[in-house]
Amino acid sequence: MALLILNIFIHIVSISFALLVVARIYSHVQKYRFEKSAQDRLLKLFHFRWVVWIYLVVILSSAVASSLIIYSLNP
Amino acid sequence: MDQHTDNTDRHFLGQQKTEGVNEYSREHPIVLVPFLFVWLVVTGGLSFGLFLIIHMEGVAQSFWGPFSVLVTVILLTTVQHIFALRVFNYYLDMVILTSYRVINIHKSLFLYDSKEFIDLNEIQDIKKVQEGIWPNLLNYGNLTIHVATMNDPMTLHHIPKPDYYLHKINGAKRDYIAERRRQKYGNGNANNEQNDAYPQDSPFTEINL
Repeated sequence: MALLILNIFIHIVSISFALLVVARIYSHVQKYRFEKSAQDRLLKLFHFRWVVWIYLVVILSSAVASSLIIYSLNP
Repeated sequence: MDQHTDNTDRHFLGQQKTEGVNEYSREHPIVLVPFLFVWLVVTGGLSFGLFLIIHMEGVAQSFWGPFSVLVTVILLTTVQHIFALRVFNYYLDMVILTSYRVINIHKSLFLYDSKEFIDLNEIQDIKKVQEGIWPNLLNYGNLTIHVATMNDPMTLHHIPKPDYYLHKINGAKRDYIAERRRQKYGNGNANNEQNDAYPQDSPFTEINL
């Protein structure tokens, strides 16, 4: 049980860090407003947003999966 | 670019009123490949280790079984954070070519935030370096911009399609110099034909060069 609580605490820190990262990314991106046009093909903001979402999903699923594994091993 | 459009802070903070964005670029995605490789190896290794620990006999009864799982999970999570930060930093680095200057933005989320500006008028020489199999196969390289007033040249690393950007910078420089000449000689001479193209309320007259 102690390991499970420790695991949850560690992942709360991890998720908080991920949210801080995303907040900093969006505060930075707002400084750049390139329009969607053929000239702007290199910005690829769409891909960038996908990367951010994948990052959040990986961190969240890692928290859930590890908690389930530790709980199933030592409930 | 429409000469009467106010571009102040339009595309990025610090953009001037009559400054248009010609092009911008990031490094070639090839720079992420070494990190991707390390990420795959480390994540694969740790996941395999996790799989072995979970399927060991009697692991549930001991303290060290779940503890090993916890340590492995912490390592896995840390690796995901480090790799994600590297990918985000790739997106934050940018080179912007405007009608007046070249801006090299070197930024990370937490550690550094630097910008380098070169006025197009000050560019003395531009050198393209594309050496090796991969740069020529994938068409990326370095552009080195020499400026008389700077000791060290500005180097734009791993730029995709370096020939394209080399010509873009040269073209923007020629246009900029031609514009400055028009401003200097065209507006002061009433008989000059170019005065018709650049009337008194032209935004170019407002640039403080």
